[in-house]
Amino acid sequence: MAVNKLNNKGFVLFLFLVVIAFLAPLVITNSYTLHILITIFIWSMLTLGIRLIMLVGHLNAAQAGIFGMGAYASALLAIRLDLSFWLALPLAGIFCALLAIPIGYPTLRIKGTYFVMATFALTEVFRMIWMRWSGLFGGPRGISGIPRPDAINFLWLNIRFVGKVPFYYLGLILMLITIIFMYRIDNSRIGKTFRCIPQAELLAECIGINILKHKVIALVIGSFFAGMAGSFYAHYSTYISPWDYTWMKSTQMLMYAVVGGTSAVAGPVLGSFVLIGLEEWLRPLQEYVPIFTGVILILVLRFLPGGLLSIPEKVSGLTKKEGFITIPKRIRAFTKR
Amino acid sequence: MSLGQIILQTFVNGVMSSMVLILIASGLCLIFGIMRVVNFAHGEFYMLGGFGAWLLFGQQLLPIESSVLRYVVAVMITMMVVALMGILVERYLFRPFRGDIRATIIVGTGVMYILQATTLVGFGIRDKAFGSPFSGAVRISGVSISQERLAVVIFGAIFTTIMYFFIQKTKLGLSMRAVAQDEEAASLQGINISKTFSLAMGIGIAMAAAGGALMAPIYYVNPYMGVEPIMKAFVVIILGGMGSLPGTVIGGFIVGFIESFASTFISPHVALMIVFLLLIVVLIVRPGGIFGRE
Repeated sequence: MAVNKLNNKGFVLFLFLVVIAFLAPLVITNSYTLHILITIFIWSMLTLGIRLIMLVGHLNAAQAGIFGMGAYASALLAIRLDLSFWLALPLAGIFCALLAIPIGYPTLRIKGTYFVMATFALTEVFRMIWMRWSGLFGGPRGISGIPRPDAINFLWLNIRFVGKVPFYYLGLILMLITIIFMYRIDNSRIGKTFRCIPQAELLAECIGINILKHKVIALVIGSFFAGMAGSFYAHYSTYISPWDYTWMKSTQMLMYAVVGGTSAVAGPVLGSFVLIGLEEWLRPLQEYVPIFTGVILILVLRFLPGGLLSIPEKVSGLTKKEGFITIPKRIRAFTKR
Repeated sequence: MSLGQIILQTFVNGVMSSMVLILIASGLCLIFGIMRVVNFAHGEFYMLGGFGAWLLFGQQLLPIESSVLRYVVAVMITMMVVALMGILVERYLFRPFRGDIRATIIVGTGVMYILQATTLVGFGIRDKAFGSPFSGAVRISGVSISQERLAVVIFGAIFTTIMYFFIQKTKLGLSMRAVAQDEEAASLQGINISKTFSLAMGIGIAMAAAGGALMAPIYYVNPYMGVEPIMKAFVVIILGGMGSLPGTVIGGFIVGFIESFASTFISPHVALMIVFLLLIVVLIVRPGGIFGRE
């Protein structure tokens, strides 16, 4: 059995869900529900990025900072340079990917525990930069009046970005691109290399794997999609402020990834969907909501170390208890070769 | 005020914020050094300490005449109650994940959410302020030091010293150091690991609660007051080399002074930026911290 390849059943399920997602706006006309779904798409992209660096054995807490960098970069490109959203979106992604290189090389050298703290600190450094240089970044009040994406006029297509529905489709497509890309990575040689690094770092190094390089690559890919998500968020909400990108947001992303499960691409998406959906469902309870999410997080860690993804396996009783990240047996064989 | 006076005043403020940082960070350092748990919920225990002081002293629940004595008793009771909560958290939430640092980080964030939301539900979002039992100021060569700030420094120094001597000089402290060094060998010598863990967690959390209770009268109390100090405390323990108490004290002074001087002479945002950049630079140049052994 391949590492993470979908079997026919999984592929059919994926297609089925995609079709449902594309048809959903025909049924859901409530703009608030659409807003929640768009939020889920954004967070899924961020959490998918965090999962990739979790595969190489690190908890990345800079994702919220990178997300913010993408949002600010895109907003400034659009406002100061009058660039179209369609150009600012990939540029924000590329900017964040490039930013991840100087961040990754020094910080990924250090041990995991320190990496978490360094990245938390980095998120705060970014936030202080946005707060301090208010001429460029708007200070604590942030940037408002970010233009919405330009209308698309292509052959018979004529889409104007007003209301929630166009943003719903744009977010959905961006998330699908992320999912497909991450899925391809998972099943490529580099994805397999990522998974073997935390299992036996020394061994991986001995068989000629450049560990630092692979870790940086994982960070760069995750940051690219975080930057795109940031750009999409900025142009969707038309307003950003430093308070949207605190280190608490990073803990939320880590939480979604852990609750969903990191063994497959579906995990982070599932985690974001379930937890954000739950938070919305519990919204009438207001302040009590974080209590529920906290309890769910701890219960999942305690009784479902593989996350929600491992429920089917748990139910059929096939798997034994494994560590924080479930690694299929074939990968172990791969590292021992 | 002349420049000299401003510098002296900033120095005094630096000592005070260092002292509070040291209180928080030394608990964090103890917990990491002995249990290998990065306690992300530590700032929330600091917050609970603040709420304890507000509840017992600010709301005048204790039937004691003298306000200074009432404050001291309130701080003591708060420390004990919060430490008990910490011990329960360690026993039932952290212990099942022993040895898996990353899992404990995530559990810690879960505990953080729960504690923040619980206090929010219980006490509301409004900032709560109450006066310190120490009023007036001491004047030393033209610089006025408010007594409430002086009290923070003195109490902080007392608590840190007691903790240091407890760990260095008593038998229980010795057993804690033994567990930190080698769990298996320590348990072979008849040291009860579980009890040592509970003790370390209790002391560490009590220190954080003390920090919160001491700072509460100077600033204010709210459910999110622990979010910022915990970040700075992480910087302190990393600077000092994780698990080293003397290192933590020195790290605390470095961060406290950078913060107070940069805040006064540049801006508070730049101060925090310098502190966090310093952390990243130290991690890159000396991953074991300035005083770490690695």
